[in-house]
Amino acid sequence: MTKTDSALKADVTNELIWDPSIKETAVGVAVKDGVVTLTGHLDTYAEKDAAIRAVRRIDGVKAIAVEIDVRLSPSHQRSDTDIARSVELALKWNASIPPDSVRVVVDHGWVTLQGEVDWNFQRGAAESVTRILKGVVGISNDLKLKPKALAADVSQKIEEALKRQALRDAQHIQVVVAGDVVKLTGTVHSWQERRAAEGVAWSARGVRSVVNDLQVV
Amino acid sequence: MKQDCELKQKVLAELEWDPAIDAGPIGVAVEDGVVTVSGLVNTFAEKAAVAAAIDRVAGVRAVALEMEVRLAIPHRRSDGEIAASAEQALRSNTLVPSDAVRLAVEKGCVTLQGEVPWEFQRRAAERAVATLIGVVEVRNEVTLQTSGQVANVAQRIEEALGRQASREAARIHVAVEGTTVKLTGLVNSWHDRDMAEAAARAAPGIDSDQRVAECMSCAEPFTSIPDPSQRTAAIEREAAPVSRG
Repeated sequence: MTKTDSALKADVTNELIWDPSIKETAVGVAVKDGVVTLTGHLDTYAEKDAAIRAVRRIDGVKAIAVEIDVRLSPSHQRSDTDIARSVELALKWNASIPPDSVRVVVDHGWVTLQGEVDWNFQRGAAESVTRILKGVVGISNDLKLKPKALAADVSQKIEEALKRQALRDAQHIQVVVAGDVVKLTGTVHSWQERRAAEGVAWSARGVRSVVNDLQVV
Repeated sequence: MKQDCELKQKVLAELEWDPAIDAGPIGVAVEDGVVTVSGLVNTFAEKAAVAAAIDRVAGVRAVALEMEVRLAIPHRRSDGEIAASAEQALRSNTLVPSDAVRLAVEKGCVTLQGEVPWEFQRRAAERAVATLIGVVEVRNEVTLQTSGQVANVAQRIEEALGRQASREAARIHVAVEGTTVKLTGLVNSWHDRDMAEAAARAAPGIDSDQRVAECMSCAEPFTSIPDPSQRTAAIEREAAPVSRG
């Protein structure tokens, strides 16, 4: 059973109200054919990110278009030099990110992360520590993964991990490995499971890219 | 017991699989679905990764983390250095209200104190320091401010669950007793359980009693149906102030 657009819009709006980390009055919601468009201005990048996550949580959302820009409040304004310094400090002090592996470029509050790390969770960690910093209005995560020998039987190992984690839809997920690219196709029941399945695929040694074509039904 | 043996194999496989974990020095014992992990980890972040990895495995009823964080030499920092970096991490964090959280560091253990309006801010403060180099433990003693009782909290949590996953919501029961939210029922996976818990955590204006903060932050205890073939996990959260690790 699919939700109507107006029911979906009500759900998205209520979820934004429900989430205390989002100033929901600043966000406009439009829904057409299950595609949710968010518009407006928010104070921080973390808040923009929270708004996107809130929409992802909702049953029946097919896709999200984000037309929100970040307009920093005066108390959060920082020079690019200050932002670069605080990103560098945050990266340097993070226990999961290898030292000196990430280069930081800041342009009008937009942070680009460049370089090579060993694992996708380190890419994620670099982005997480940056996302919440004052002055950041956006992030381009251009971190690449170092090439590594692909683990043997990758697709089988990914399938085993999906089963171990009791992903309800494990049997509906097809795993195809081509070179260092893993492609996931099939259906899952929620965005959480879609993300979890992607996380599983990223954990395979040697995988440098995951194409997540899982449909949420 | 056969089931325990299988569960142990699964837990070991999941620890091996997770690239954030060096599984070599970690020992795993399982009895009646209760997993005890012991041994050494290199960082506090790794300890958290171990806890999360075990949580993901189907059939785990409870977890005891008897691990010691032994920092590698390049990760050792003085308490003064840790305090300075933790201060900076809190100050530059957009989610943590300015000057709301105080911190103290002793032998790498960071204690956070203060008062914030929301649970997400409390957790943001914890996350901001938990990943720092040199940290071996975090004690989050930040409490939530009084925001006054909001009407129909249980109903609002149920609505939030319904928005997020209508199939599961019908099988989850929400009870609010004073300062405690208790979720019971069956879900299909641990991911669904996490989703339900996150929805409850976001509940606004539940009574400001200290116990709410404790309760809302604890990940354990959970109970689950030990038969993994059923692919179900019961959600049950008690008010007991159990903190992870």
